[in-house]
Amino acid sequence: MALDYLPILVLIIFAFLFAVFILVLTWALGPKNPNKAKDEPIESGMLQFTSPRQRFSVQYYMVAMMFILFDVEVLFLYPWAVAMGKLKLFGLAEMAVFLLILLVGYFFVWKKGAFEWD
Amino acid sequence: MGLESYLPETGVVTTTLESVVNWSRKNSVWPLLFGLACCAIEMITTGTSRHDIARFGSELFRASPRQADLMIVAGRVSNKMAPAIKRLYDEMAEPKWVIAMGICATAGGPFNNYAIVQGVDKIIPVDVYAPGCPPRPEALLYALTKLQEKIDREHLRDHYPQAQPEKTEAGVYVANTADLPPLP
Amino acid sequence: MTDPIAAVRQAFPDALLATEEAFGSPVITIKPESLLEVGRFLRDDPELNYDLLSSLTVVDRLKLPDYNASEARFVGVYHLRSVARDGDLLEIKTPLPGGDEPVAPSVTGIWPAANWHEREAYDLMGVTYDGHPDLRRILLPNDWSGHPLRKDMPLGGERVPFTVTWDDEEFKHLGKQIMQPEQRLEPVPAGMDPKHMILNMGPQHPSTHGVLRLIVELDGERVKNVEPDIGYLHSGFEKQAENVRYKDFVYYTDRMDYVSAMQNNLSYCVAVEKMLGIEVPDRAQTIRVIMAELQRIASHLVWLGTHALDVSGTGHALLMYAFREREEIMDLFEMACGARLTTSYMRIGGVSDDLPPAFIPRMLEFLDMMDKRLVEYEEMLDENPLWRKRLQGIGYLSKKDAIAMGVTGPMLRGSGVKYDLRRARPYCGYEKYDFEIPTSDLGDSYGRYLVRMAEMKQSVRILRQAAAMLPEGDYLLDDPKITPPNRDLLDQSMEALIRHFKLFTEGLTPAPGEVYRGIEASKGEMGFYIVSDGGAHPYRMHIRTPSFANLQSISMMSKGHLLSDVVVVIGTIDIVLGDVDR
Repeated sequence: MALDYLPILVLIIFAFLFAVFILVLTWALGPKNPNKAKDEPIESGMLQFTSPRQRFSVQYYMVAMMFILFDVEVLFLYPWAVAMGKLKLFGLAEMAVFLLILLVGYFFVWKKGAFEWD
Repeated sequence: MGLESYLPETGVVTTTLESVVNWSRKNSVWPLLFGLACCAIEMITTGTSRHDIARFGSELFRASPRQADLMIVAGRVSNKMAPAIKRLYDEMAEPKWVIAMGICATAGGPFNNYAIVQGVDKIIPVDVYAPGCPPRPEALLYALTKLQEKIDREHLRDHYPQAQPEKTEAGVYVANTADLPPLP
Repeated sequence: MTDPIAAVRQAFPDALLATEEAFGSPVITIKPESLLEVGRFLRDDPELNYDLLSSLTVVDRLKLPDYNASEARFVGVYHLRSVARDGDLLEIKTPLPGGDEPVAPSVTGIWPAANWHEREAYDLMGVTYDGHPDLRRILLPNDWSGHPLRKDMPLGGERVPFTVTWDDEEFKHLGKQIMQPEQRLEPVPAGMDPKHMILNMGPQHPSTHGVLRLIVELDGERVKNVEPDIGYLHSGFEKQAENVRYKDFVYYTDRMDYVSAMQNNLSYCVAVEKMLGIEVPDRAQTIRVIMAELQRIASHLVWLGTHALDVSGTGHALLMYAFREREEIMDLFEMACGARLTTSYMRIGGVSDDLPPAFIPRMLEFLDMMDKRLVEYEEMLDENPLWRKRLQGIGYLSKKDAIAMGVTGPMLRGSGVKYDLRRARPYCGYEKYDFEIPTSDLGDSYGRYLVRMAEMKQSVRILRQAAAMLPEGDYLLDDPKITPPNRDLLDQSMEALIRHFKLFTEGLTPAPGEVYRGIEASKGEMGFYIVSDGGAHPYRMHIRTPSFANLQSISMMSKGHLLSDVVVVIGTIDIVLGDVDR
């Protein structure tokens, strides 16, 4: 049973090694010429006025939170989709109830105006 | 620093490695989206379907200097723009090349006056000059192929800072523009 | 027929110093103390209604032959137009007090369009404007010393050695950097709160059409304030004009609005022709109209392609389509004059060469193709929900604001003002053609998009008419003092040789005087104000470019929108930085 998953392990190891190989190759063959401008942030060729280490507007947090919530909802859909053959009608009904609860939450958020920028 | 300090200057490993590296570098030169004036329109035209620059490897014009290899200075460089150009050049990651497109970038063009820097090579080192006002897209592609030929002849130790800055009465000559002493 | 001179003389009898007629337009000279009163009267009087400030400049009279030290050295020149009365032009001159440090009252209270014009006059000429909200340098770097356009300042540049060999001392530093341009950190612009994020949409940016720097104050994604910083392409055209001959300046005009070179050439040539008082032959006029309208289509195609690219990113496809049409137009230009982009085709007195026989048939084929392609573009964009969502409501400019800010061209017509210099003050025989002037009452970016698409259709219409009515005749006026002779004659006639020699060494010399003439270029009113002292070089040339005036309104148009809408606003203004910075 566990041996069915061996190809996945091999794939993970090879992907990791390949990525490491590419990075080592770039480090070995690439020229190194550090200078001051390369360490500073780019602002279209000009020096910065204000540093980006500032407080962010709260709207960004709203967008981020909404994204996380609905992304996790999608995440729950994946294993259910894979195992749907075995879960049959009962599983479908359970998932439908789950989605319905989240849909109510979605409409609530929509009406409250969290999807508008302001 | 780096592999080439362990390799001999000539020798079959180095030259094969160099030819592979040069081949990969010259066939995927990605320009920086940097159009200043009229030559920029011809540069955009070179990227459109009739004179497709993508078939020479310049698939995309990158907007960020960190991700670009080639700075095509297309247009006249004014005194106000010069610090920005120098900073953008410094921000580009090695290996990097510069094509001066048009006669304004080469030598100031028809504008021999107070406002224009007489040639972008007064600020940054230029690899290929493409004269014309503006050079036809075919001329820019020829400049790109000339640059590719130049990249082919490079060595692995070419993009490292080499010499010490040389001080003479006319000015300070350095290999790395970011090493110029600050203004008083 | 209202007479502004009589009206001003009646209302302000003691302010008027002199009046004259310069080639058909009235010029009044008034005392500087009464400039504001007279200006307000001219704008508000219901019969005069001079509400559009076309251009504002200063002339340094130091090297004029009739200048003496007791007179004012600097003269302020204002060109006013009345939109309601079809672009009626009035020029106001005021001698500025203060000798070498001139001071003038600021007219930004009357015409807000004067804001940037006065900053430019301060920057290049050193005139201080009393009452200007924000007088600082605009085209030159902030730490530049001196005012280059003054007559006692040299042209600058470097000496070009023609008589030395490569191992000369001069070329010692060839190939090595000798300039150290360092950046200095500037203070935060006035009116911006450093607690908000202040960002540079800097000179190198994929969406600014050229080297425009916008300092954007952001609260989250909302734009609180946008401040354009221009001058990154300032090339000293006006100073250069004082050092080249009249016929040579045609080559420089291409490089201003570099996507519509023919229009710039045309604007310069009609201004000089007005000054010389010559009539261009009919065939040359029709050829000029053909070239100008083809260039208008080409310029609008660049606008369409880059605007679609900026708005949606995947509009790369539309960029390719638009440039495919543009390649056809550039092939036509290449057929006529040899150059694709910077054409320099027009000459003073006509055009430089006749159209080849294959031109008109090829152009008619192109027009047939263009009709179909325009329909395709409309199908792609007009009802496209993404396009409408991104463009509608963005960058709203009301009619009153547009005229007050001195905006002209498709931007003005997109705000509902039916004003087009081709109809109002026809030049080059435009009165013979039958075309409409598209306007839109929406006032936002979508309205301007509709106006420009309709303008392309009207240009196709004019081109068809022009091709049908192309008369036979000369393509260049045959005047010994102005135009060179046909090259075939040079082998045969001594007079032709002398004429050629005189024109190419000395150049044509207009009588002393001044002229202003504006045409409807692709982006708005492009006008040349030329002062001649009787010599072969212009004494002063001021170029009124449409993008300079149009760009002033960006701050008003983008306040309160999101950052991505600033990109849409830049695209809808359709700026070309060569035009803005000159």
